[in-house]
Amino acid sequence: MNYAMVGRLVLKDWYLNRLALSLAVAGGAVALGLILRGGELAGVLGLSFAFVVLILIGVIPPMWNIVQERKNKSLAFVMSLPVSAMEFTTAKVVANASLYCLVWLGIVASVLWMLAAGGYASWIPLGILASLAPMAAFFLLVAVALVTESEKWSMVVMGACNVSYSFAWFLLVRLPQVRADATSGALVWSSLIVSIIAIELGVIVLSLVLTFYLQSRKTNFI
Amino acid sequence: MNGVAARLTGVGKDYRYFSLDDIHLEIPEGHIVGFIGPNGAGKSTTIRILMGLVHQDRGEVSVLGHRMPAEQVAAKWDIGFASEDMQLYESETLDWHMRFVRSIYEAWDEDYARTLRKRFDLRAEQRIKGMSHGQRTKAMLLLVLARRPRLLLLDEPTTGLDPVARHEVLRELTDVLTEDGRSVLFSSHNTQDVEQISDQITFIDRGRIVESRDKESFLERWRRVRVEVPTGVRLPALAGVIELRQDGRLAVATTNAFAADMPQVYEAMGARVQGVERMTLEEIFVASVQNSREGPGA
Repeated sequence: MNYAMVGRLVLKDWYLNRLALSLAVAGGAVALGLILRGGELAGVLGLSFAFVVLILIGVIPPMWNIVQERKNKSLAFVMSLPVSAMEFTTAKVVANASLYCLVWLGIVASVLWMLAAGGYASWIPLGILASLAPMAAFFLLVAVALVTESEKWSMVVMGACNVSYSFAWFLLVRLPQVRADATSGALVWSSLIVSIIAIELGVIVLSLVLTFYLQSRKTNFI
Repeated sequence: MNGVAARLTGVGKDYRYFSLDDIHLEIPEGHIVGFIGPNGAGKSTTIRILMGLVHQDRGEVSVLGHRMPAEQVAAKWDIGFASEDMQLYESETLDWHMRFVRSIYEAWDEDYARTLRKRFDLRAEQRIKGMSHGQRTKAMLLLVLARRPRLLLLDEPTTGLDPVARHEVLRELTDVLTEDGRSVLFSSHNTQDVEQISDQITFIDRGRIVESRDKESFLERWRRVRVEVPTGVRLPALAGVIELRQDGRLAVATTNAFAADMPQVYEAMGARVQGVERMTLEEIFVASVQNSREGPGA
């Protein structure tokens, strides 16, 4: 593995996504500002806005860096460089994941800190669960975009994940045990919450493993 | 310069509706090989196999001493690839692309890049999306040529260019060969471009190599012979005649193995040779492809 080459490709993708990253950072700051402002309406708006930012930053870089690169025929330019399929895949995963995780960590850590500091620590498990959902969707989208190189399939995954957030959230908060734990005032890690978080982490790991495995078996790159 | 820059031996690749089959092709060092074929003949697939971007299903591929696709990274350090299907990043400038490529290739020649930029009349600060098709093609070639690759694989680089841009590109490619050991595979369906700069020519059609030899041999071996024959006589096809058309007393024989005594042979049969015509590369290409499609193996 030529790490210097991987690094150059990562820097290239960061540079090409500088606008999306700047907007995500600004959006995250606005969301956190709303939460910090206090009050129920501002808090709900801030949390919703933060969630939207997490979804958008999970969609824009993979669609731009991977799907559009292929569609705009710039992939051939990249693959004509002295880079192997695995180096290319590693660079794409690292570039996209680092962009995403930077924004995700900043927003999620801040929100969790605010919840703990504001006396809402019992909401932390649900907050982690909710914030891991767009991350799992992000890694799934990266995998599908890289492996299929298909805009259509990437859109299907993106749409399915976005619809499933509301549906999953709707089902989850209706469960009496989950509501009771969240409003108890104490930090409770129920087996249901832990299981769902484990599934989300499993989706992330599986997406990564499948991405590298399937890319290593690919025989056509442009 | 007796080495071989790239060699394909018995290479095949199967798709659902197309197969590349039993491709044997050599690119000698220091030569420009013109690779001519109709659309969909397999030119791009062959070039992508040479780049390691498409893996062959069978056969051996060697490029600059490296086995492909296994050693594609080592080979690609010395290959310059440009394709009609390849685009630079539209939102970035030519200067950004030059800095990006320069950061990768130690062999990047800044003076040569500057010379090419002036010769191609390109502005470094211009974004790719603001460039015309010709400017984009020249920008791509600048990025490829300024890193001084030993082997250039160019897939239809002149398609869609205006005559001036085409002339600039072809002149630059010819100049590339003034440096020892550099080799070029140049694919096109425009036979004029290929005839202008190539010294070796290969025809491909329907995924098979139809004919491959040096340009002079091509042009020397192919002739069209116009003959007037006595009434009621059918002209026999001589060896090497791939097409014989006769309408009444006038016959036209197309041969790919012209011999100096061919007119005398016809005259000995009582015919009168009206003329022996040289054929253009385009005429040779069309005749060769038609012959291969109608031949015994078709």
